[in-house]
Amino acid sequence: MFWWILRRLGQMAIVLFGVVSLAFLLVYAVPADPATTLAGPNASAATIASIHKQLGLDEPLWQQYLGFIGRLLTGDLGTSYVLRETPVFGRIAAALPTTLLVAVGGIIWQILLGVPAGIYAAYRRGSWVDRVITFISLIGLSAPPFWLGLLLIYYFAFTWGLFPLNGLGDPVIWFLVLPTFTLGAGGGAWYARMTRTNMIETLDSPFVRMARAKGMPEHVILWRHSFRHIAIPLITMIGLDFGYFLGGVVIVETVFGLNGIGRLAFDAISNLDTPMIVGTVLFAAIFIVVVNFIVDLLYSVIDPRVRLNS
Amino acid sequence: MKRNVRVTLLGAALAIALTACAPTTSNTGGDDSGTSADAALYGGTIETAAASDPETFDPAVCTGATCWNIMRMVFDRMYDYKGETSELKLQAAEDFPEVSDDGLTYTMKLKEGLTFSNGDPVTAKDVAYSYARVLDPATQAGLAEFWKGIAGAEEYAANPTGLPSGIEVVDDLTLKITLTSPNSSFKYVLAMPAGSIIPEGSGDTIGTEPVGSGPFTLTDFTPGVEVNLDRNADYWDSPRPYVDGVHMTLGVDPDNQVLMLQKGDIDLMGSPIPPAKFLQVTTDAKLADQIVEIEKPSIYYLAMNMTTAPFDNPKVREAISYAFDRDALLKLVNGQGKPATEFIPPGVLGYSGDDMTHGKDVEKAKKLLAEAGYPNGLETQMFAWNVAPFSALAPQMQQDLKAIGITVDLQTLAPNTFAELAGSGKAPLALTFWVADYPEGSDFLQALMSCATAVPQGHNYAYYCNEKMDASVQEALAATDPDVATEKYTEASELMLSENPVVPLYFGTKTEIHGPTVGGYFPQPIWGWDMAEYWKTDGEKSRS
Repeated sequence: MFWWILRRLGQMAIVLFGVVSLAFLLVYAVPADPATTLAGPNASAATIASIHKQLGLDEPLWQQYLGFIGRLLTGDLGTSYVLRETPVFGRIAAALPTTLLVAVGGIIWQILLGVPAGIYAAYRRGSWVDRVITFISLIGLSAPPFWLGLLLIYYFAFTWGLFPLNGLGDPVIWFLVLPTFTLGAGGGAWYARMTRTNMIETLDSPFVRMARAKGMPEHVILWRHSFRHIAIPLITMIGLDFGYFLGGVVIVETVFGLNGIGRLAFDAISNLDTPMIVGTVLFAAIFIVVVNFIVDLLYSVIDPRVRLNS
Repeated sequence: MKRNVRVTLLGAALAIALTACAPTTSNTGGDDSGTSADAALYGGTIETAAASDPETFDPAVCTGATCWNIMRMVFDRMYDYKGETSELKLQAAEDFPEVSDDGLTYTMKLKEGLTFSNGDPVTAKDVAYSYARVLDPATQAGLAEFWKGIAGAEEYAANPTGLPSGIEVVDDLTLKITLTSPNSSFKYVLAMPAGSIIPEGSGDTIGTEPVGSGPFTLTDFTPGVEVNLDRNADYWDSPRPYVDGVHMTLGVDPDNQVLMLQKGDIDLMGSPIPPAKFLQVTTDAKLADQIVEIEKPSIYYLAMNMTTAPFDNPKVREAISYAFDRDALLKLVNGQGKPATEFIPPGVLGYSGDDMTHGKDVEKAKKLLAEAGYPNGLETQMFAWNVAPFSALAPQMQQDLKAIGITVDLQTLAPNTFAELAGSGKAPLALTFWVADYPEGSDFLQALMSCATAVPQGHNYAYYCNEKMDASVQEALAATDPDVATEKYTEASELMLSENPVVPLYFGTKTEIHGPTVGGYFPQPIWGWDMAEYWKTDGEKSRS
């Protein structure tokens, strides 16, 4: 167990290093100049050259890269090019709570919407209820989140005034309903389909037939016995989503004006704000890697057949 | 991906918010700002929203939309723009500058008794420091170029200690600036954000803890969430500002800003009305009283790179000048502008009122192409921004060029990629625009078409260079009589357009919407909100 954890930590470090390097090089490869964004559209050539010098953008790539990695190893993510006085680390840390709330809310919606629907559809396989659930989940999967978000804002917040239009306030849950639903709707549909498929497979397995044959009540078969079988793929999905959402939910945060990591990343990319882009990518990667690690640990708890050996 | 379009609009908002414009307005709801004080009411908070965080609170550095509006609230400059005009008014200065006969020396006096928000008096030393700081490369001022006409600017940039030789503190309230050549537009430079007066020595902290002598003071800023500004109760221009404070919600999508305004959650939008909502908003009878339109001193144009074939051939360029129907193009951009007749827009010194452009004439264009040696047409590439209005214009222009026999490979690019590629001369055709930094022709002819700018990242996408034109612009800058200046600018414009390095398409307008309880609102062509002049119509008759 100890060696397994150590090996995983080593792998995580390598993955993160690769991700950050790739992000840095990709931004460098874009044929655009951060100094133009910084100096404004009317800046002269001389001014842009002077800003290049100030930011060290006139140095060769390898030198910029080494400097960047060196600072990173000392824990310094640098200062945003665009939001001048803002340290990248502090800005991301400030955005983290919002993203955390949205991510948790989105996951809750996904599970609430998806899992019961999937189980019920599997249980009533082939019936009209199954078809309706499958059809709705298809719509949920196809609806682009920004469209759904704008639609919800227009009707639920603007026309009917049931929820606030933008941002976060008090009570926070009131402000979170629409954004988290937007986030969870598409995922919920995905969960419904996945749950249905896994459940159908489980319900066909010999142990369920055995349970039925000996007259076990259906709800016990369904919830106590079969549900445990679909828990592993479910937890894998939740883990992946959670890691992914924590990295920032770009569209939902932007549409609903939430001060999260996703919107930071979005603004950074449109402004070619290299330190901020690399910072948000690094955070996203850390979340995904860490959550994956935790999910792997959880497997052994849920399924005693899984052993963590080195 | 559709989202990308909306995203880049945000970027465009940035550019557009650095907007400028002309004195004439078709104002449906505004009052004359000069006489509106009688009707003004006191108290309340003006609620606003912005798409992005203020980039900085440092006036020398700010070029973005959000900080731009804040700069005008927090800082005073010697001069500022009056109401909805592009004329200057006195702000921190006691009088307009006394200019020596050779046009090189500007002597300016501060008002007595001005104080910064930290209680310190505003002195000529602070002004000198604020100006010198713009020239220090470490400041990274985006618009430093405008200040380089000050004597000793270059030496100072190389060794930024003390003051440049051209800036002299005469006494506590008097400042003398010497230029290297006469420049009638220099007074406008002093009214730009970078001309804001900050306390001497505050350069290191100004970006986070701004101290100014403006009508408002910054009370708090929560990144990604909000900005709060309080009325400066000691402001010299009493009874302004009328409102007690300004609140700015950050990170609000422009579509959402429109909804918030319609719902009464905000009074003013920081972003322009998004194109998708434009017609819906501007044709809504309920909102008619809340909409103002103003000419912005801007030109949308097509540049042809004269250093590459086939645009090194004057006949080809002339042919293209006959390719477009300006009225048809304007329909594609919700009519937000009027057909360009020359390169310098109306409201800007140097606008002649003459028509120097060519209307659409397909036959003539084809004939010119044939004479140029391309009887069967040619193929080329056009670069354009991937945001409104260019995303609407470019496909139509591609078709118009097809009609005269030119097959265009259209490249639509993110704004900063466009600047990089077109700026480095890789664009045979570049569809672009320019909004005035100040209302003088030099900001168009010198900033975009001079030999000095025909370099990479120099904005002269045509790489046009004609020393005769440059000389005319210099003469215009040296002229003290505006009529003489206009004549010189007209000469320069005619000469330049006769060689067709660019096809001027249209002069832009901007449309703004304000909440029903904002009193005295007017749009400003050059600057952003003039918050000290607005009030809340649900305010008190006197200050309690």
